[in-house]
Amino acid sequence: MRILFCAYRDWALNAVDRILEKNLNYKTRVVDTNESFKRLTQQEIKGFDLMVFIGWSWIIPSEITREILCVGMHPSDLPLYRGGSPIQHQIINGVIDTKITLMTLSDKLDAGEIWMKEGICLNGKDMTEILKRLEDSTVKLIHNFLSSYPNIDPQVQDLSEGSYYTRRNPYDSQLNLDDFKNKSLIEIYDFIRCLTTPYPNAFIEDNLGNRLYFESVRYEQSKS
Amino acid sequence: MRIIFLAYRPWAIDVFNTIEKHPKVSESTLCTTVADLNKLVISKYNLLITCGWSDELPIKVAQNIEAIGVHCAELDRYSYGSPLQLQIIDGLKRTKHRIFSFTHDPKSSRAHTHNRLFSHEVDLDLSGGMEEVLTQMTATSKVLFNWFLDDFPSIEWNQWPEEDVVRSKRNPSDSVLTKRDIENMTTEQLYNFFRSLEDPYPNGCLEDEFGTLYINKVYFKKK
Repeated sequence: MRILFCAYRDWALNAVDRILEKNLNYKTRVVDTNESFKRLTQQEIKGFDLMVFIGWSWIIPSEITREILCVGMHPSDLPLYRGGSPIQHQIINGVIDTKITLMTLSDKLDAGEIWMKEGICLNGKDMTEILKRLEDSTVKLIHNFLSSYPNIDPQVQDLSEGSYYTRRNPYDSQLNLDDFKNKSLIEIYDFIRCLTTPYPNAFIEDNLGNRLYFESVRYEQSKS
Repeated sequence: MRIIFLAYRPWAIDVFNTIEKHPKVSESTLCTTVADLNKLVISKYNLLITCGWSDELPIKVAQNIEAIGVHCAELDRYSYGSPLQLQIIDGLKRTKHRIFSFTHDPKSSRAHTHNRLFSHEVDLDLSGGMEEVLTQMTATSKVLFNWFLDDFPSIEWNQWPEEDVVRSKRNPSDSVLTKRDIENMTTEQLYNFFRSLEDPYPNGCLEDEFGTLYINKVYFKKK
Protein backbone atom coordinates (compact mmCIF):
# COMPACT_ATOMS: atom_id res chain seq x y z
CA MET A 1 0.00 0.00 0.00
CA ARG A 2 1.25 3.50 -0.85
CA ILE A 3 0.46 6.02 1.88
CA LEU A 4 0.83 9.80 2.06
CA PHE A 5 1.12 11.20 5.59
CA CYS A 6 0.31 14.89 6.06
CA ALA A 7 1.31 16.61 9.29
CA TYR A 8 2.97 19.89 10.23
CA ARG A 9 2.72 20.32 14.01
CA ASP A 10 5.61 18.99 16.08
CA TRP A 11 3.56 16.39 17.95
CA ALA A 12 1.98 15.20 14.68
CA LEU A 13 5.33 14.90 12.90
CA ASN A 14 6.68 12.96 15.90
CA ALA A 15 3.66 10.66 15.63
CA VAL A 16 4.31 10.12 11.90
CA ASP A 17 7.96 9.25 12.61
CA ARG A 18 6.89 6.70 15.18
CA ILE A 19 4.18 5.24 12.90
CA LEU A 20 6.72 4.84 10.10
CA GLU A 21 9.15 3.08 12.46
CA LYS A 22 6.46 0.49 13.20
CA ASN A 23 5.05 0.07 9.69
CA LEU A 24 8.00 -0.51 7.41
CA ASN A 25 6.12 -2.56 4.81
CA TYR A 26 4.37 0.40 3.21
CA LYS A 27 5.64 2.82 0.61
CA THR A 28 5.22 6.15 2.32
CA ARG A 29 5.79 9.83 1.79
CA VAL A 30 5.42 12.66 4.30
CA VAL A 31 4.21 16.17 3.50
CA ASP A 32 4.74 18.78 6.21
CA THR A 33 3.33 22.00 4.74
CA ASN A 34 0.12 22.92 2.98
CA GLU A 35 2.24 24.42 0.18
CA SER A 36 3.96 21.07 -0.39
CA PHE A 37 0.56 19.38 -0.37
CA LYS A 38 -0.78 21.81 -2.96
CA ARG A 39 2.27 21.21 -5.15
CA LEU A 40 1.50 17.47 -5.49
CA THR A 41 0.77 16.69 -9.15
CA GLN A 42 -2.30 14.75 -10.28
CA GLN A 43 -0.04 11.87 -11.13
CA GLU A 44 1.58 11.90 -7.70
CA ILE A 45 -1.83 12.03 -6.01
CA LYS A 46 -3.10 9.10 -8.06
CA GLY A 47 -0.05 7.15 -6.96
CA PHE A 48 -1.33 6.89 -3.37
CA ASP A 49 -3.84 4.35 -2.04
CA LEU A 50 -4.38 6.23 1.21
CA MET A 51 -3.79 9.68 2.64
CA VAL A 52 -3.52 10.11 6.42
CA PHE A 53 -3.91 13.62 7.87
CA ILE A 54 -2.77 14.22 11.44
CA GLY A 55 -3.44 17.57 13.10
CA TRP A 56 -3.94 19.07 9.63
CA SER A 57 -5.66 22.48 9.54
CA TRP A 58 -6.60 22.83 5.88
CA ILE A 59 -9.62 21.59 3.95
CA ILE A 60 -8.76 18.84 1.46
CA PRO A 61 -10.26 19.48 -2.01
CA SER A 62 -13.20 17.20 -2.75
CA GLU A 63 -11.58 16.13 -6.05
CA ILE A 64 -9.00 14.37 -3.91
CA THR A 65 -11.26 13.01 -1.16
CA ARG A 66 -13.61 11.55 -3.78
CA GLU A 67 -10.81 9.80 -5.61
CA ILE A 68 -8.59 8.49 -2.82
CA LEU A 69 -9.38 7.33 0.68
CA CYS A 70 -8.37 10.25 2.94
CA VAL A 71 -8.54 9.69 6.68
CA GLY A 72 -7.91 12.24 9.40
CA MET A 73 -7.47 12.12 13.14
CA HIS A 74 -9.85 14.40 15.03
CA PRO A 75 -9.12 14.78 18.77
CA SER A 76 -12.63 14.19 20.08
CA ASP A 77 -15.14 11.39 20.54
CA LEU A 78 -17.06 12.10 17.32
CA PRO A 79 -19.76 13.15 16.70
CA LEU A 80 -19.06 15.16 19.85
CA TYR A 81 -16.96 18.31 19.42
CA ARG A 82 -16.91 18.42 15.64
CA GLY A 83 -15.37 21.60 14.25
CA GLY A 84 -12.51 23.74 15.48
CA SER A 85 -10.34 23.76 18.62
CA PRO A 86 -11.80 20.46 19.93
CA ILE A 87 -9.21 20.00 22.69
CA GLN A 88 -9.74 23.49 24.07
CA HIS A 89 -13.55 23.23 23.93
CA GLN A 90 -13.50 19.88 25.72
CA ILE A 91 -11.16 21.04 28.48
CA ILE A 92 -13.09 24.28 29.01
CA ASN A 93 -16.28 22.19 29.30
CA GLY A 94 -14.66 19.99 31.94
CA VAL A 95 -14.13 16.87 29.78
CA ILE A 96 -11.22 14.77 31.06
CA ASP A 97 -11.57 11.27 29.60
CA THR A 98 -12.35 11.34 25.92
CA LYS A 99 -11.34 9.72 22.63
CA ILE A 100 -9.62 10.61 19.43
CA THR A 101 -11.31 9.50 16.23
CA LEU A 102 -10.05 8.38 12.84
CA MET A 103 -12.61 9.38 10.22
CA THR A 104 -12.91 9.62 6.47
CA LEU A 105 -12.44 13.16 5.23
CA SER A 106 -15.51 14.21 3.27
CA ASP A 107 -17.08 17.37 1.93
CA LYS A 108 -18.61 18.21 5.30
CA LEU A 109 -16.16 19.10 8.10
CA ASP A 110 -15.57 16.28 10.62
CA ALA A 111 -18.66 14.48 9.40
CA GLY A 112 -17.14 11.50 7.57
CA GLU A 113 -17.44 7.84 8.45
CA ILE A 114 -15.68 6.69 11.60
CA TRP A 115 -13.04 3.96 11.36
CA MET A 116 -11.65 3.74 14.87
CA LYS A 117 -11.28 5.51 18.18
CA GLU A 118 -8.57 5.55 20.82
CA GLY A 119 -8.78 6.83 24.40
CA ILE A 120 -7.03 9.92 25.69
CA CYS A 121 -7.01 11.73 29.00
CA LEU A 122 -7.06 15.52 28.93
CA ASN A 123 -5.78 16.22 32.43
CA GLY A 124 -2.34 17.76 32.99
CA LYS A 125 -1.08 21.22 33.78
CA ASP A 126 -0.23 22.30 30.24
CA MET A 127 -0.61 21.58 26.55
CA THR A 128 2.90 20.14 26.26
CA GLU A 129 1.76 17.27 28.48
CA ILE A 130 -1.52 16.83 26.60
CA LEU A 131 0.05 17.01 23.13
CA LYS A 132 2.54 14.30 24.14
CA ARG A 133 -0.42 12.13 25.11
CA LEU A 134 -2.14 13.02 21.84
CA GLU A 135 0.98 11.89 19.99
CA ASP A 136 0.95 8.56 21.86
CA SER A 137 -2.77 7.96 21.21
CA THR A 138 -2.39 8.90 17.54
CA VAL A 139 0.42 6.39 17.07
CA LYS A 140 -1.77 3.65 18.58
CA LEU A 141 -4.81 4.69 16.53
CA ILE A 142 -3.03 4.76 13.17
CA HIS A 143 -1.07 1.61 13.92
CA ASN A 144 -4.30 -0.25 14.78
CA PHE A 145 -5.96 1.11 11.66
CA LEU A 146 -3.11 0.06 9.36
CA SER A 147 -3.05 -3.38 11.00
CA SER A 148 -6.78 -3.86 10.36
CA TYR A 149 -7.34 -2.11 7.03
CA PRO A 150 -8.94 -3.09 4.66
CA ASN A 151 -10.65 -5.72 6.79
CA ILE A 152 -12.76 -3.21 8.71
CA ASP A 153 -15.84 -1.21 7.86
CA PRO A 154 -16.31 2.39 8.84
CA GLN A 155 -19.46 3.52 10.65
CA VAL A 156 -21.61 6.40 9.49
CA GLN A 157 -21.75 9.29 12.00
CA ASP A 158 -25.11 10.21 13.42
CA LEU A 159 -24.89 13.95 12.96
CA SER A 160 -28.18 14.50 14.77
CA GLU A 161 -26.18 13.58 17.87
CA GLY A 162 -23.04 15.21 19.13
CA SER A 163 -22.00 18.83 18.98
CA TYR A 164 -20.26 21.36 16.76
CA TYR A 165 -17.93 24.18 17.86
CA THR A 166 -16.21 26.93 15.91
CA ARG A 167 -12.48 27.45 15.92
CA ARG A 168 -11.23 29.69 18.74
CA ASN A 169 -9.51 33.00 18.03
CA PRO A 170 -6.71 34.63 20.03
CA TYR A 171 -9.16 37.17 21.52
CA ASP A 172 -11.17 34.25 22.93
CA SER A 173 -8.20 33.72 25.28
CA GLN A 174 -9.24 36.74 27.36
CA LEU A 175 -10.44 36.13 30.90
CA ASN A 176 -12.78 38.84 32.15
CA LEU A 177 -13.07 40.04 35.71
CA ASP A 178 -16.57 38.53 35.72
CA ASP A 179 -14.99 35.16 35.05
CA PHE A 180 -13.14 35.45 38.36
CA LYS A 181 -16.43 36.31 40.08
CA ASN A 182 -18.56 33.65 38.42
CA LYS A 183 -16.27 30.71 37.75
CA SER A 184 -14.66 28.28 40.14
CA LEU A 185 -10.86 28.24 40.21
CA ILE A 186 -10.79 24.82 38.59
CA GLU A 187 -12.74 26.27 35.66
CA ILE A 188 -10.22 29.11 35.42
CA TYR A 189 -7.39 26.57 35.68
CA ASP A 190 -8.90 24.54 32.81
CA PHE A 191 -9.24 27.68 30.72
CA ILE A 192 -5.62 28.71 31.30
CA ARG A 193 -4.00 25.26 30.91
CA CYS A 194 -5.72 24.52 27.59
CA LEU A 195 -4.31 27.79 26.25
CA THR A 196 -0.70 27.25 27.24
CA THR A 197 1.99 27.28 24.54
CA PRO A 198 1.76 26.63 21.57
CA TYR A 199 -1.71 28.21 21.77
CA PRO A 200 -2.53 31.91 22.37
CA ASN A 201 -2.07 32.19 26.14
CA ALA A 202 -4.94 33.18 28.43
CA PHE A 203 -4.78 36.79 29.53
CA ILE A 204 -6.55 39.50 31.47
CA GLU A 205 -6.68 43.07 30.23
CA ASP A 206 -7.16 46.12 32.45
CA ASN A 207 -8.86 49.39 31.55
CA LEU A 208 -5.50 50.80 30.40
CA GLY A 209 -5.32 48.09 27.74
CA ASN A 210 -2.33 46.41 29.41
CA ARG A 211 -2.34 42.63 29.45
CA LEU A 212 -1.18 40.00 31.91
CA TYR A 213 -0.62 36.63 30.20
CA PHE A 214 -0.66 33.32 32.07
CA GLU A 215 2.15 31.07 30.91
CA SER A 216 2.09 28.31 33.50
CA VAL A 217 -0.31 27.38 36.33
CA ARG A 218 -1.09 24.43 38.55
CA TYR A 219 -4.10 23.47 40.65
CA GLU A 220 -4.35 21.64 43.95
CA GLN A 221 -7.64 20.37 45.24
CA SER A 222 -8.53 21.13 48.86
CA LYS A 223 -7.78 18.21 51.13
CA SER A 224 -10.99 18.51 53.13
CA MET B 1 43.60 34.36 53.43
CA ARG B 2 41.29 31.59 54.50
CA ILE B 3 37.60 32.01 53.89
CA ILE B 4 34.37 30.21 54.63
CA PHE B 5 31.64 30.54 51.99
CA LEU B 6 28.14 30.01 53.36
CA ALA B 7 25.31 29.51 50.85
CA TYR B 8 22.45 27.09 50.21
CA ARG B 9 20.48 28.54 47.32
CA PRO B 10 21.63 27.32 43.87
CA TRP B 11 22.17 30.87 42.49
CA ALA B 12 24.38 31.65 45.51
CA ILE B 13 26.36 28.39 45.47
CA ASP B 14 27.27 29.23 41.85
CA VAL B 15 29.22 32.24 43.19
CA PHE B 16 31.66 30.04 45.12
CA ASN B 17 33.70 28.90 42.10
CA THR B 18 34.69 32.49 41.39
CA ILE B 19 35.48 33.45 44.97
CA GLU B 20 37.73 30.46 45.63
CA LYS B 21 39.86 31.56 42.65
CA HIS B 22 40.49 35.08 43.97
CA PRO B 23 44.29 35.60 44.24
CA LYS B 24 44.07 36.54 47.91
CA VAL B 25 42.21 33.35 48.82
CA SER B 26 44.55 30.54 49.84
CA GLU B 27 41.94 28.23 51.30
CA SER B 28 38.17 28.16 50.97
CA THR B 29 35.50 25.99 52.53
CA LEU B 30 31.93 25.81 51.25
CA CYS B 31 29.23 25.34 53.90
CA THR B 32 25.59 24.88 52.95
CA THR B 33 24.16 24.50 56.47
CA VAL B 34 24.76 25.95 59.92
CA ALA B 35 25.64 22.37 60.98
CA ASP B 36 28.50 22.42 58.42
CA LEU B 37 29.60 25.77 59.83
CA ASN B 38 29.54 24.53 63.41
CA LYS B 39 31.95 21.73 62.52
CA LEU B 40 34.66 24.23 61.56
CA VAL B 41 37.23 25.84 63.84
CA ILE B 42 36.17 29.40 63.08
CA SER B 43 39.29 30.99 64.50
CA LYS B 44 41.37 29.38 61.73
CA TYR B 45 39.61 31.51 59.12
CA ASN B 46 39.94 35.21 58.24
CA LEU B 47 36.54 35.90 56.70
CA LEU B 48 33.06 34.40 56.47
CA ILE B 49 31.31 35.22 53.18
CA THR B 50 27.58 34.53 53.11
CA CYS B 51 25.62 34.64 49.90
CA GLY B 52 21.82 34.62 49.76
CA TRP B 53 21.83 33.61 53.42
CA SER B 54 18.64 34.83 55.03
CA ASP B 55 18.97 33.35 58.54
CA GLU B 56 20.78 34.75 61.53
CA LEU B 57 24.36 33.71 62.17
CA PRO B 58 24.98 31.83 65.43
CA ILE B 59 26.27 34.38 67.97
CA LYS B 60 29.48 32.41 68.61
CA VAL B 61 30.23 32.59 64.88
CA ALA B 62 29.38 36.27 64.44
CA GLN B 63 31.48 37.25 67.45
CA ASN B 64 34.57 35.35 66.34
CA ILE B 65 35.03 36.14 62.67
CA GLU B 66 34.45 39.05 60.34
CA ALA B 67 31.37 38.18 58.30
CA ILE B 68 29.84 39.77 55.22
CA GLY B 69 26.93 39.10 52.92
CA VAL B 70 25.09 40.54 49.95
CA HIS B 71 21.86 42.46 50.40
CA CYS B 72 19.68 43.41 47.44
CA ALA B 73 18.10 46.70 48.47
CA GLU B 74 18.90 50.39 48.60
CA LEU B 75 16.28 51.59 51.07
CA ASP B 76 16.37 50.78 54.76
CA ARG B 77 12.70 49.77 54.72
CA TYR B 78 13.67 46.63 52.79
CA SER B 79 16.17 45.36 55.35
CA TYR B 80 13.65 43.35 57.36
CA GLY B 81 13.37 40.32 55.04
CA SER B 82 11.98 39.41 51.58
CA PRO B 83 13.68 42.43 49.96
CA LEU B 84 13.34 41.19 46.36
CA GLN B 85 9.65 40.42 46.62
CA LEU B 86 8.75 43.61 48.47
CA GLN B 87 10.63 45.88 46.08
CA ILE B 88 9.11 44.23 42.98
CA ILE B 89 5.62 44.33 44.49
CA ASP B 90 6.17 48.01 45.37
CA GLY B 91 6.94 48.67 41.70
CA LEU B 92 10.68 49.37 41.97
CA LYS B 93 12.46 48.84 38.67
CA ARG B 94 16.04 49.07 39.88
CA THR B 95 17.80 48.77 43.20
CA LYS B 96 21.27 48.17 44.66
CA HIS B 97 23.11 44.98 45.39
CA ARG B 98 25.48 45.62 48.29
CA ILE B 99 28.07 44.02 50.49
CA PHE B 100 26.83 44.36 54.07
CA SER B 101 28.51 43.68 57.37
CA PHE B 102 26.98 40.58 58.94
CA THR B 103 26.83 41.10 62.69
CA HIS B 104 24.65 39.72 65.40
CA ASP B 105 22.59 42.16 67.41
CA PRO B 106 19.74 40.55 69.34
CA LYS B 107 18.13 43.97 69.79
CA SER B 108 17.91 44.68 66.07
CA SER B 109 14.60 44.02 64.36
CA ARG B 110 16.25 44.15 60.94
CA ALA B 111 16.58 40.72 59.40
CA HIS B 112 20.07 39.31 58.89
CA THR B 113 21.44 42.80 58.13
CA HIS B 114 21.12 43.83 61.82
CA ASN B 115 23.00 47.06 61.04
CA ARG B 116 23.10 49.54 58.16
CA LEU B 117 26.75 49.15 57.17
CA PHE B 118 27.65 48.51 53.55
CA SER B 119 30.87 48.74 51.57
CA HIS B 120 30.56 48.02 47.84
CA GLU B 121 27.45 48.33 45.68
CA VAL B 122 26.26 47.79 42.10
CA ASP B 123 22.94 48.42 40.38
CA LEU B 124 20.48 45.54 40.26
CA ASP B 125 17.75 45.42 37.62
CA LEU B 126 14.48 44.06 39.00
CA SER B 127 12.73 43.43 35.67
CA GLY B 128 11.79 39.98 34.34
CA GLY B 129 11.06 36.74 36.09
CA MET B 130 12.82 35.45 39.20
CA GLU B 131 15.11 33.25 37.14
CA GLU B 132 16.44 36.36 35.35
CA VAL B 133 16.82 38.32 38.58
CA LEU B 134 18.60 35.47 40.39
CA THR B 135 20.92 34.83 37.42
CA GLN B 136 21.84 38.50 37.56
CA MET B 137 22.44 38.26 41.32
CA THR B 138 24.91 35.42 40.76
CA ALA B 139 26.89 37.74 38.48
CA THR B 140 26.65 40.83 40.71
CA SER B 141 27.61 38.81 43.79
CA LYS B 142 30.77 37.64 42.03
CA VAL B 143 31.63 41.24 41.17
CA LEU B 144 30.92 42.50 44.70
CA PHE B 145 32.86 39.80 46.53
CA ASN B 146 35.82 40.18 44.17
CA TRP B 147 35.88 43.94 44.81
CA PHE B 148 35.65 43.36 48.54
CA LEU B 149 38.51 40.84 48.48
CA ASP B 150 40.59 43.19 46.28
CA ASP B 151 40.25 45.92 48.94
CA PHE B 152 40.41 43.67 52.00
CA PRO B 153 41.36 44.48 54.75
CA SER B 154 41.15 48.22 53.96
CA ILE B 155 37.39 48.36 53.69
CA GLU B 156 35.56 51.65 53.85
CA TRP B 157 32.18 51.15 55.49
CA ASN B 158 29.22 53.47 54.87
CA GLN B 159 25.76 53.53 56.38
CA TRP B 160 22.54 53.64 54.43
CA PRO B 161 20.08 56.22 55.81
CA GLU B 162 17.67 55.01 58.45
CA GLU B 163 13.93 55.13 57.70
CA ASP B 164 10.88 54.96 59.91
CA VAL B 165 9.07 52.90 57.29
CA VAL B 166 9.30 49.15 57.75
CA ARG B 167 8.34 46.64 55.06
CA SER B 168 7.96 43.45 57.05
CA LYS B 169 9.16 40.05 55.90
CA ARG B 170 6.61 38.15 53.85
CA ASN B 171 5.01 34.87 54.91
CA PRO B 172 3.81 32.09 52.57
CA SER B 173 0.22 33.11 53.40
CA ASP B 174 0.95 36.52 51.84
CA SER B 175 1.18 34.75 48.46
CA VAL B 176 -2.61 34.25 48.44
CA LEU B 177 -4.71 36.75 46.49
CA THR B 178 -8.47 36.97 46.71
CA LYS B 179 -10.77 37.30 43.69
CA ARG B 180 -11.39 40.85 44.91
CA ASP B 181 -7.66 41.57 44.67
CA ILE B 182 -7.78 40.51 41.01
CA GLU B 183 -10.58 43.04 40.43
CA ASN B 184 -8.83 45.86 42.25
CA MET B 185 -5.23 45.48 41.07
CA THR B 186 -3.95 46.64 37.68
CA THR B 187 -2.45 44.01 35.40
CA GLU B 188 1.00 45.52 36.07
CA GLN B 189 0.51 45.15 39.83
CA LEU B 190 -0.62 41.56 39.33
CA TYR B 191 2.34 40.90 37.07
CA ASN B 192 4.75 42.23 39.71
CA PHE B 193 3.06 40.18 42.39
CA PHE B 194 3.15 36.89 40.49
CA ARG B 195 6.64 37.28 38.99
CA SER B 196 8.16 38.12 42.37
CA LEU B 197 6.77 34.81 43.66
CA GLU B 198 7.95 32.54 40.87
CA ASP B 199 9.97 29.46 41.82
CA PRO B 200 11.86 28.99 44.13
CA TYR B 201 9.48 31.13 46.23
CA PRO B 202 5.94 30.21 47.36
CA ASN B 203 4.01 30.90 44.15
CA GLY B 204 1.25 33.49 44.03
CA CYS B 205 -2.15 31.82 44.17
CA LEU B 206 -5.91 32.14 44.47
CA GLU B 207 -8.03 29.99 46.75
CA ASP B 208 -11.67 28.98 46.74
CA GLU B 209 -13.62 26.38 48.70
CA PHE B 210 -12.53 23.61 46.28
CA GLY B 211 -8.83 24.24 45.81
CA THR B 212 -5.89 26.50 45.05
CA LEU B 213 -4.82 27.86 41.68
CA TYR B 214 -1.08 28.56 41.65
CA ILE B 215 0.25 31.03 39.11
CA ASN B 216 3.73 29.74 38.22
CA LYS B 217 4.71 32.04 35.35
CA VAL B 218 3.28 35.17 33.77
CA TYR B 219 4.30 37.85 31.30
CA PHE B 220 3.11 41.37 30.72
CA LYS B 221 2.43 43.46 27.62
CA LYS B 222 1.96 47.17 28.01
CA LYS B 223 -0.36 48.77 25.46
